[in-house]
Formats: sequence, C-alpha cells, structure tokens
Amino acid sequence: MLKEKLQEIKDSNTNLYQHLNNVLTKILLDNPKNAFELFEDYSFQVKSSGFSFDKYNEFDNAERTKISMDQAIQQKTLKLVNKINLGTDEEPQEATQTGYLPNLTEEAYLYEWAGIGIDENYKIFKALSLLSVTKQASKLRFWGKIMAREKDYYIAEGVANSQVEDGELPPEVEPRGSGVNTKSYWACTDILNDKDWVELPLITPQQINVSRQIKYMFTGNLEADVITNPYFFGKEKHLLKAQIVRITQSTVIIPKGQYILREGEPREIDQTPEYKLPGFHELKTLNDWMHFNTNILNCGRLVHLIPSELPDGVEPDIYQKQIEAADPFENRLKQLSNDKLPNNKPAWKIRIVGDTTDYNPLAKDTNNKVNNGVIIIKSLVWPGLVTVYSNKVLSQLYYGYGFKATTNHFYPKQPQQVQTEQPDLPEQPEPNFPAEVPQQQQD
Amino acid sequence: MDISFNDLKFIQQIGQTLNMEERIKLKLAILKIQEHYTFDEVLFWGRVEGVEKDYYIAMGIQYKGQYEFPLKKFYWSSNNYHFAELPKYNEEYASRADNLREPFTGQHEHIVFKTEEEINFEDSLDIPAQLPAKHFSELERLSYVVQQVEFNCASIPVGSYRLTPTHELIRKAFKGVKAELKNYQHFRVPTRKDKQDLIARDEALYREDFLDSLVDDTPNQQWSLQADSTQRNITLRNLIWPGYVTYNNDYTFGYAYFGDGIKNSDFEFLL
Repeated sequence: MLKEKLQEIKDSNTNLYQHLNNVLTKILLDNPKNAFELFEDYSFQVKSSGFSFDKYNEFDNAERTKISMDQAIQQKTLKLVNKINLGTDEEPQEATQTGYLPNLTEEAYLYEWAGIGIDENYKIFKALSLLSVTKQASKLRFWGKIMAREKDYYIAEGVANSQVEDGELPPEVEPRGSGVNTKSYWACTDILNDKDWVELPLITPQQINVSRQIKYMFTGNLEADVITNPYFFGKEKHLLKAQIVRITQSTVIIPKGQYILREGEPREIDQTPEYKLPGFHELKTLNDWMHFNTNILNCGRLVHLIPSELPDGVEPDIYQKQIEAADPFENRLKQLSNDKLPNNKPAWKIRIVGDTTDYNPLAKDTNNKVNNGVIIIKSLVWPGLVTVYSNKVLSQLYYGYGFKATTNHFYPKQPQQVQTEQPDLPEQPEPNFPAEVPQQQQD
Repeated sequence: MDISFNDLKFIQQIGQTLNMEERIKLKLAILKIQEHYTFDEVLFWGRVEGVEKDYYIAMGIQYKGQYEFPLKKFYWSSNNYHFAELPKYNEEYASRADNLREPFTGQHEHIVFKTEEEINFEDSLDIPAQLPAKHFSELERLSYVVQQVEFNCASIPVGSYRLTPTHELIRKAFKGVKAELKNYQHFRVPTRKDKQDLIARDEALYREDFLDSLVDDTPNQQWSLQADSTQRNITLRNLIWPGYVTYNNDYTFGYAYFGDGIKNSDFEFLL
C-alpha cells in the first residue's frame, strides 16, 4: 500500500519510491560518516545525476570494460607461446630451420641485476624465433626497445637472407652486407603479430649525417614523415635505422684481447686464436674492455668512397690519402677508458653487482671456478645502452628513446631566410592618347 | 609503488626494474621509516640513477586528519639503504637546476654549481668563524627534481580515490579504467580553477575526477599511453621526464620514477 502511494508522487522521470530507493542505495554504497547531514545533498545529487540503483552495476565505474581479455589477443598469445606452427591448426607444419638465437629468458635474469627489466621476455623470445623462421634470418638477437610516443618499437638484429634483392643503389650507399648496412634490423610494434616485423631499409650517408644534426622523438609509425630542419630525406623507418646504426657502431664492446688487429691491415680484426673468455676478476675495470666496431666517418660511411673516375693527374693512392687525412679513421679496438665526454668525464660507467664471492677459487680446472658477480657497463653517451657480463655470458641491449646525451639544449636549425620579394615597380597609368583624329584627307 | 614490488612488471615496459638485492634492502629500509614517523602509507617512489651510485626515494603519505589533500613526505637514500628526510632546496637557484643536463654523480655533497650567497651577521656580538658559502649541492638538485616530477607528473587513474565529506582522501576499491588520457588525474592539490571550484562547492564528493585532469596539461603530447601485449597492463609515461610511469591494470594502480633525473627540456622541438 505504501509503495503504491509513494509511486504516485511522481516527476517526469521518476517517482518518489524510486528516488528514495536510489538515494538510500547511494548512501549505502558511499558509506559516509556524516550521512545524516549530507542526506539532502545526496538527494539533490541523485536527482541531478540521474543515478538509478537497478541500473547500477558495481563494475561500471569510470567507463571500464569488463575484466576479460580480447578473444583475439588470447588466441594470438597462445599461438605465439606454443611450438612454432607454420601451417594451420588442422595441418600443423613444424619449423625446421631456426637460426641461432640467444636465450633471452636467461639473459633477462642478468639484465635484472643491472636494473634493466625486459617485460614479456618470453613472448619476445618466441616472436624472434618466429621471425628467424619466416624471414630466414640468421644470427638474430634482441637488439632492444626504442620507445616512442604512440607505440614502442622492438628491434631485432641479424643477418638477412642472402637472396633479398635491393636493386640499383646510388654509388655512395654502402650495399647490404657492408659498411653501415652490414647487419639488418627488423622493427615491430606488436609482438603478437608475426607479420608486423618490418625490415628496416638500407640507409644513405646523407641520412646518417642529417640524423646527427636533428633530435626527433619517434611516433611509433614507421611510415610517418620526419619533418625537421635540416630536411631528412626519408621516413621514420630510415631515421630509426640511422639511429640504431649509430648506436651500434659506437657502443658494441668486447673484452680486451678477444680480437686482435690483423697484421698489415690495421683496420681489420681477427679473433684471437685460442682465446678463452676471462673470468670475473679480469674484467672489472674499463681498461679491460674495447670497442668492437669501427666508428662512422664524418661522411656517413664506414669506409671512404673512392670515386671510379678521378680527376686527371691524380693517383688513386694519393687521393685516398688525401680524403683519409680530411676525414680520419679512429683506431680500431680502442680501450673504453680513453673515451671521454665533452666535459672530460668518462663516457662509460661500470658497476659490479650481485654475489661476488669466488666459489672454488683453488680449483685447478678453471671451469670449476665460479663467480656469480655481474659486471654492468652502461654508456653515458647513448643512455640506455647496457652491456652485462657474468659467468662467461656476454650480452648487450638498448632501452631508450634513441637520443644521444647532449650537454646543450637542442635548438633546431633555423631554416634559411626566404628572400623578400622585390617591391613591385610603382604603377603608372596607361598612356592615354586622345583618340586618333583622322587626318583630313588632302587632295 | 607498493613495497611488495609486485608492480615491477609495469616498470619493465620502459626497461627498468629493481634487482633482488635492491628489493630486499629497500623493503627493510622503507619499513624502518615507519619507526620514526607513522604514516598511513609508505611507498617506494623511485630511483634516480647516478654515475657512481644511485639514489632511492621513498614517500610517506598521511591521509587521516589532512584537509583537502594528504601530506606527502619524501625520504632519500644512497646505496647504503639508509633513508633520511629529503631537505628543502634553495628556491632561488632551483630554476637553474631545471636545465642541467649532466647526470647525477651519486655523491650527494657534490657541488652542482656555486652560488654567491652572502651570509650576513648583523649585530651579532660574537663573530662566528668564517662560514663557507653554501653552494647548491647535488642533494638539493635531487630534492628539486623529486618535487618537480611529483608536481608535474604524479598521477593516478580516475576512480582510485574518493574525497570524503570531511575532505579527506581515501582509497576506493579500484576496478580499472579504460586506457584514455581523460581517465587520469594529477595526484596533487588541485591548482586549476575548475577543480578548486568543484571542491569548494562540495560536488567533489560525488565525482571521481575531482583532481586536475591530465588532459589540460600543456603540451598535451607529453603523455604517452601504452599497454603491453595483453592490452590490460597500461602504462602512462611522461616524455618530458622520461622514466616517470603511472601504471594500472584491472586490480592495481600506482606510479614510480625510474630515470636519470634529467628533464627533457627540448621536448617541444622533438615533435
């Protein structure tokens, strides 16, 4: 009886019975301490916000979607973590050829000691092995992650299948397999989608030089235009490759002595014969490490370009010496302790973490000597580049935005001044001759 | 971030984490802070990397008895894992610290730049011994960076806290938010007029977004909202202070700073 009575007192949207229900429900849910004082406030709020208790779903706060994972994502994840299946579910086809891939899950444990966390490392590892099979890439490894504004890039480094054709290349571009284009890189923003891995294109020396002058934050879209001054000829994927190559060429390091200079050709290196990776104690300082790669020259290549047609009267040897003097090589296998930042501080930082006790120090067989300490070397020139070494495992990774550390602020170069137009000549009125008077005909 | 460190997987999306030794020692050290000053919550705020050593920052929050916004107190420690209160920085020189690009060294007494402060002793009968000029030390730079990041970046998802009728903040049962920038708000005393009015009118009690919204931050592109491959673990990163992350999934939320303490002040030129 009371219920009907209350239901009769109504407004346009609701009736008193409904409204009382709503107010009481809201008060019960919020559970304020001074509900008595706030009762009128609640009533007002419920009226203005149109809260309705039967439509209230405890899970509907803040426009949240239900706690469930998208079906498609579930399936893709399962497919990724299972054994590689190149066929369909009905006709499974096993992958037979997978190139060598370092075990990322084990290396992630080392990186954790360095304070670098690789999220979803197992999924990345499986995605890389899938890449190795589908693109027939060998010597693949996880290079790192370049973070961007919309989506991050996962980068894999390797050697591409030799049957890829590149077509005609301009002479100054170092062809695939040599110079800056020695290794191939693949980028991907979605590791669940194996078709997402895109091989980054070959880059020109001009692109490298422009990338040295600009600072650009990646967006996450490989085909985005890069709008900077000086103008970058290429899309985001070219700039991405350029940054990756710059980072790799200047920061790959190896223990001292693993490679030696070749006699007679000081620019080439060979593996030291009968070399064993040293133990923990021999690698604790910067002196014990050296650079592996050559640096990129000022012209944007690794090796100078000798044009096929030299001007008359110039010997090839002398020409080579001239351009080498103008743009000198740096020594190969430089020690890390010599690298300095512009302010003369060391360009690397080295730390030792973990359990550094020597286990079994007196064992005769050096293989039984164990030291679980982890040596971490981080670059201060390219912040984000980390090398870890522990128990004969050496690994390297980059996690960052792709910026070089700078001491000054970055100001983009001003575009050249556009010349002002010449002022127009003042306009003169058209000569307005009086209409021709026909001359009197003279007889 | 909670000191059980279950949430580190979010920070791994930007490539940072705490190793085993750090986790164990930090947990013990942060719990020790409670011995001196009882906070409602003591959280791990973040790690500022230095060349020789790193700094760890903890934050204590007091909700009860605080009108309008909880009290936050910051503590710092070097790798001796012994927390001390983070001192105030010298305001006049602080803005110069904003533009520093050099990494932190890890030595907290390191002089960042020399100041010319005169110490006047007027009318003092006994002339004290010559006091050295107080230069801007790295600890002050750290304090400044922590305050800047906390003010400019610290953010939480909408629906995580409520304002009680007595204007205290309490935590709600968090159920997750959709990954959109408008679903996040600053975790600080509201500075923008529209939110201040909301609170003054007491309407904030009924709304979830009563703190400054991130959508009104300028430049707006400084926030990057991404998720991992499951699309349920969402991280909201700041690009002007790279290393700052607000994270949430359907069960939990939080924020932390894992970086080198250097502001990306040429952000506007990078777009």
